Amino acid sequence: MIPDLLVVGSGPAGAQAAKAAIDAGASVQMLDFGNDDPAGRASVPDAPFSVVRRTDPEQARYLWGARDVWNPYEGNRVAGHLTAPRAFALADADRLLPVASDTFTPVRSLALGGLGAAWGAGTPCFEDHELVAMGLPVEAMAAAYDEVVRDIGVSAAWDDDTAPYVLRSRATQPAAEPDTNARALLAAYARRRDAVRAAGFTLGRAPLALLTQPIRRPGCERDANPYFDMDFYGDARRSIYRPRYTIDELRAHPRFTYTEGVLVHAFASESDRAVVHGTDRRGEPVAFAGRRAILATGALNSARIALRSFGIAGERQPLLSNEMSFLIALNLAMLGRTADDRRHSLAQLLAIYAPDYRGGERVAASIYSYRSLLNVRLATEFPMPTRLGVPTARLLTNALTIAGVHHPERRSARKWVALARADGDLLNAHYELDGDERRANARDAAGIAAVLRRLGCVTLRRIATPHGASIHYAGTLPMRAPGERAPLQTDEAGRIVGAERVHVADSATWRALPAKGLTLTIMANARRVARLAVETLRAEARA
Amino acid sequence: MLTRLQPGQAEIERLARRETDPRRAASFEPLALGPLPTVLALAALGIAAALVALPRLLVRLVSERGAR
Ligand SMILES: Cc1cc2nc3c(=O)[nH]c(=O)nc-3n(C[C@H](O)[C@H](O)[C@H](O)COP(=O)(O)OP(=O)(O)OC[C@H]3O[C@@H](n4cnc5c(N)ncnc54)[C@H](O)[C@@H]3O)c2cc1C
Repeated sequence: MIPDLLVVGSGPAGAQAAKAAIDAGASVQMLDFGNDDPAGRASVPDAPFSVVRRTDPEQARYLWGARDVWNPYEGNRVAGHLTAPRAFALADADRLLPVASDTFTPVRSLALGGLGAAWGAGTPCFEDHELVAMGLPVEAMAAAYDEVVRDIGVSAAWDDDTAPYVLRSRATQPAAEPDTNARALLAAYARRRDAVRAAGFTLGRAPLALLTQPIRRPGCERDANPYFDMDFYGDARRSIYRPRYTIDELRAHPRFTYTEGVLVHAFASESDRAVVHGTDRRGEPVAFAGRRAILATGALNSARIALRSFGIAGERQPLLSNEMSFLIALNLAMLGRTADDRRHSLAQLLAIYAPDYRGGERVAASIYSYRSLLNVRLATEFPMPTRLGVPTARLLTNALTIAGVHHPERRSARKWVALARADGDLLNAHYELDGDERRANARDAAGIAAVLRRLGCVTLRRIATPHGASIHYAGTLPMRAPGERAPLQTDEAGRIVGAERVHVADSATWRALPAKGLTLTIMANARRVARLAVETLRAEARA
Repeated sequence: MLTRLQPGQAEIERLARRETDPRRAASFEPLALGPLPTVLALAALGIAAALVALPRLLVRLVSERGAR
């Protein structure tokens, strides 16, 4: 007996595709490389950051790690650290999911939970016009958003000005408490609201996959966030959604199996089954069959696997990725003031900026305070000896405000991926902006900096990150449409044209990529794709 | 020139070890001295940093002149 569905990948897309398929009555075998670090996780105490700092002699292990493990922003260390307990999310990926490029530095994962093992849990929804541009059906997506929001738990503020841009499912939990710095910014925004709204800027609490109320159901016990400010390190209460929690929940189900240690290279779509070919951890070939297969390996990896399956080398598939820059600012209202230790560590606020020159497209800026990271990270950024840098960092910490700005994306012939050799895994990538794009991005950042100034912040620096550092990727196996010329395309059900039994559940199929966090939409779409795959199986069985 | 004053990896490691020693945690925590004392303290630190940088800057300028 072969399973109804093979689901490749356990990230946000794979986990939610599998869950929807199981809920729809199908049997699922999940194939995954599945790196994990349970020991690292277990070493992080369930206690407030301020208490841990003063009591735990072992804290260096998780607060610092053996050394700084990863830095996607190269020289720009401000927000680029993946803390030690999250480092496993990127293990082996450079070697086993190779990408060669002088212009694009993407982040990939071979972890249980994928990049979702490390994500920041920002969960805006996309608006109707955005879904239409991406090629996604609005009504089906609205229903799927509802399911995901219920399943993973999303906290959100419906009374904030940003709500119409980022919220659509009413199944949300109450918003998380903003920290002291965020409260000061919201108060400044309330005072200047009319003026900054006229400039196209709205500010609200960030929608987050962070529980403010517990979730209890068979196989799933998750608690509300305790505001310990330890969210970059541990999550003993499972308050911030990780795809691993879904896999744990599914493992208890008799129709679900999880097979780890498989690196998938290719698939074959046969008359009555899909066959997935890979290698195990020793490099030995392995193959698995299912009645259909769902690729959920992340937009870049799914393109690699699909291109290799068709033996297409040297031909370009489109690539979408939001550009990202950081604005480092001081909130003067917080200078010299105390800040509560009670807080969560994720993005506090989300700004949506829709200036006229963007013609309806939104720029999204996640706003963070700088806490629960070691002082040394900040102190060593200053051009001064550390004995001066340490007190400077201590004086600035409570006022430091960081805006991670995501810019809208345009498809272009200068952004592409292609397989280097038909029988290999090496993906070539290229990403280049034209002058108009660069100017618009700079204008976005300048516009947001100007608003931050009106809210009482001084901007110290704008840091442009390398292409690909946003960790927002899409569009590599685009849904077919009139005029679409990509060698490999998908249909509305996520099926790869030419491989009837293979569906793609991640963001590879999207024709556009809004600037807001994409992962909630990845999860909703994965559910939609999985359900369509199950419906097709049913129709086949009836025929 | 200024980046030369930034610490190397060994210095960063040494600092991180000190900071993650619970007995020293307090001397790395955020300081809240009130707005005015904070501005004054920052100004003093800025002046101190400039003074530390000055000799190196002079040495560099002189040696660059010499090299030309
Ligand atoms: C630090 C950080 C912060 C982030 N913050 C946010 C945020 O706040 N909001 C937001 O929307 N997004 C955020 N993201 C991005 C988010 O994590 C990704 O959009 C999301 O994880 C993509 O999901 P995916 O399932 O498509 O792919 P992935 O998460 O990449 O999962 C891919 C899965 O496929 C498996 N896999 C891959 N290739 C193979 C192969 N060849 N064989 C077998 N298995 C394979 C991997 O093991 C993994 O399980 C963040 C990411 C990072 C790293």
